[in-house]
Amino acid sequence: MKIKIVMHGNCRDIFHKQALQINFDKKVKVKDIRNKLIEIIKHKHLANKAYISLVKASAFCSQHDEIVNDNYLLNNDKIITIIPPIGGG
Amino acid sequence: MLHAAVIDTKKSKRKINLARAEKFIKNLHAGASIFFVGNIRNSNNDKHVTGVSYDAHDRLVVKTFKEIYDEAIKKFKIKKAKVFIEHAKGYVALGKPSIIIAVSCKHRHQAYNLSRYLIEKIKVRAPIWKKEFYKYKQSEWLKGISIKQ
Repeated sequence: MKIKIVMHGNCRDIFHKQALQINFDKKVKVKDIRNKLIEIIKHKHLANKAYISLVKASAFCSQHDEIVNDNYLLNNDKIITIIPPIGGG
Repeated sequence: MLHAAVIDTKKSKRKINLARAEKFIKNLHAGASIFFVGNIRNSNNDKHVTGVSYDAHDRLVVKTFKEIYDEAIKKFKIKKAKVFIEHAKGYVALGKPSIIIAVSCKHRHQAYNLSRYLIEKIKVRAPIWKKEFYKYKQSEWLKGISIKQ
């Protein structure tokens, strides 16, 4: 199952992309995506603690523009957006 | 009545401006109008800021603005209010506005309450990210507030 993870804010700089495409063998929950992103940071950024904390503190948004929790199952969703800590205004 | 939008400084031909806000909230039922303008200031945490770039999840931002507006109208029991909210996306230069919140209500206490509620909730709930630029080409994404459930 191929999932597109759309990036915003600091995540774009960490992953050097506006979106990542990742293949998952099984049905995917948000927590699997979070863990995969942490795995990438461990591999590519020498387990940078600040980056890992940022991913751990991030929310995720479904294709239906709903904030979803770690147990959300991406049934028909092919796209999910990571929402790092926010601060507009 | 609400107007809510994210204005991309690169893609949009227009910038956020007070004239549009004033036109939208014009309301013969209203005795009070308040305009809140958030501008880019030249310092933050003892750093000399030269500009700010905003990123946003546009659809979720507009949805969040609507949710906050609905909550506020209910909370303060306001009828016939008009509200205009626009937030910039992309680079905003020093002194230029990043957000405009304009409200018109029957009474001044309603307008003050509504305006204050909107900006305070937007700051902690709308998915918008801020990258500050400093002297010598340095830049930094601000820490922000987690909205994880």
